[in-house]
Amino acid sequence: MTQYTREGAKDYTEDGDKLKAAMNDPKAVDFTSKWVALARDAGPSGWTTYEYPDVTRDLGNGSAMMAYDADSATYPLNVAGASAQAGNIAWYPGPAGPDGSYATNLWTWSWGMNAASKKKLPAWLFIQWATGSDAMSKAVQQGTFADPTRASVFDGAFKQTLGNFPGYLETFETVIDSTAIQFTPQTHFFETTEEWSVALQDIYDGADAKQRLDDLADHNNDVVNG
Amino acid sequence: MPGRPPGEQQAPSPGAGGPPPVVPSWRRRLRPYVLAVPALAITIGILYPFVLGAYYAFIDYSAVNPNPTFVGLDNFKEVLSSSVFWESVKTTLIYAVSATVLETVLGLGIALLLYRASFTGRIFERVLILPLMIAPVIAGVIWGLMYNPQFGVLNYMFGLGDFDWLSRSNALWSCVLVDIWIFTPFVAILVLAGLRSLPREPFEASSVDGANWFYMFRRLMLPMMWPYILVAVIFRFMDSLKVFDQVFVLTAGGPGNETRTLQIGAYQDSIINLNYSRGATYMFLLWILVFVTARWLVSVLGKAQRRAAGAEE
Repeated sequence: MTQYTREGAKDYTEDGDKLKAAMNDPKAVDFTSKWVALARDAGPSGWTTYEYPDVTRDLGNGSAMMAYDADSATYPLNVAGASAQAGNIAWYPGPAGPDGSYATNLWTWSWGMNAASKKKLPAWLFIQWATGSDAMSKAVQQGTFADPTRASVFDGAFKQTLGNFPGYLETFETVIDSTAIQFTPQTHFFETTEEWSVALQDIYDGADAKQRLDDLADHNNDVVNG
Repeated sequence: MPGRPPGEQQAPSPGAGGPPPVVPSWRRRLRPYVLAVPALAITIGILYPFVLGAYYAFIDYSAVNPNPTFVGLDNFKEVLSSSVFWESVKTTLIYAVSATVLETVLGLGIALLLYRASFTGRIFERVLILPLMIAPVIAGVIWGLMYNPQFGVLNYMFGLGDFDWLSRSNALWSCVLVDIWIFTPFVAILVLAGLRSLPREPFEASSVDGANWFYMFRRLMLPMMWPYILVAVIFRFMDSLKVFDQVFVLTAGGPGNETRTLQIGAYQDSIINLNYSRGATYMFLLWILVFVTARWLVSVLGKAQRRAAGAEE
């Protein structure tokens, strides 16, 4: 989604009070074709069943040269003793788009509380503790917590712990101002992105990109506006 | 028996000598109900989720619709008009039929090989059940590693380079292969038990009459073995229609929708897409498929049993 956005493609555009699927727009089709060709020519055999644990494993054991992924999937591998390639991994923000854009997709985990909760106070106290600087600093120092959301922890414990990872902080500083959730918010997110991934696998297996993405857009238009 | 109050009976004496304890009539009347409690509890445990699932299939319940309403047959219309559903039906049937046929043929062959008791046969019998000791989900993980095109042992052993066992054209058959590995021993053991229970006399008489092995197999052994074979077929076919574990671990229904069985479709709709009603509709339709098929196979089994007993030509 990061490189897709940098190349100027979108998942949906607004059409009055409706959403219009845009994954079959010319820019999206062009990027998708290039991305799938990259996966086919330079990606792992069995790309269609290749998952996050496979990505990190192969980068860590040296059988993959590059991973295009969230930093949380890669930096733990560089901690001394964590993988065969610990100490050999470096980071780069990826290619900018034609207009110089470093738009980056934010994939984040958050604490949430149900409005119907009958025990709001304990939940709120727990969230305060888990997001407090003490707990967050400890988690960062132990190498189990990625990208602390508190500026004080990021500038303190996080930089002390990961600051010497080649290119890591530079990459972060390059992309952070243009980082956002690039997916359009809508209630059928899981269903429509699942269909999107199925379409990518079909294209990888030889389906015509334009035709397959047209079918996907038709399907997703029905789902999100249904 | 004079002296015993009406409606009461004597329980067997626990020891010699003393008078037998008297069971009060209320306990005797209560006993059948107490005995039925476990079965009733299990039945309720099965029926409650079934009825709840069937109810979900008639409402529009999803994570983004906390106030579902009754929609009649709309979910069924939506699912039955979806090409993805029919692809799942096709995938499920191909999987179930091919796995059942291959496991039955291989299981029968292995049982025939092990039929004559020998030292190696006894060792193989014990080794044979090892795959059955492994949970299908673990078997899926093991085979997933063996199938890996980069470091999997299969490509290394057979010199297949980076052959992709789980590509679009191979994935379904690779899943069937894992099913065969796990469950062929089940068929073999069931058939072997049947073989060993056959009467010896007809075979001895045929042998005296000069019948060859193939004739005895076709005319005597196979007809008498049909009930056992059909029991194995029923178990395996029903189970294969509901397959989830190893297929989900190996491919999660992909590539594309190539191995999206009905169970995986139900999981994706319910758990990934958070559309509980559509997932429930998938499960309800799968239940109809399993129910109808089971009824038919059981009637075939009944005929085979009557034929084997000589009651029906």
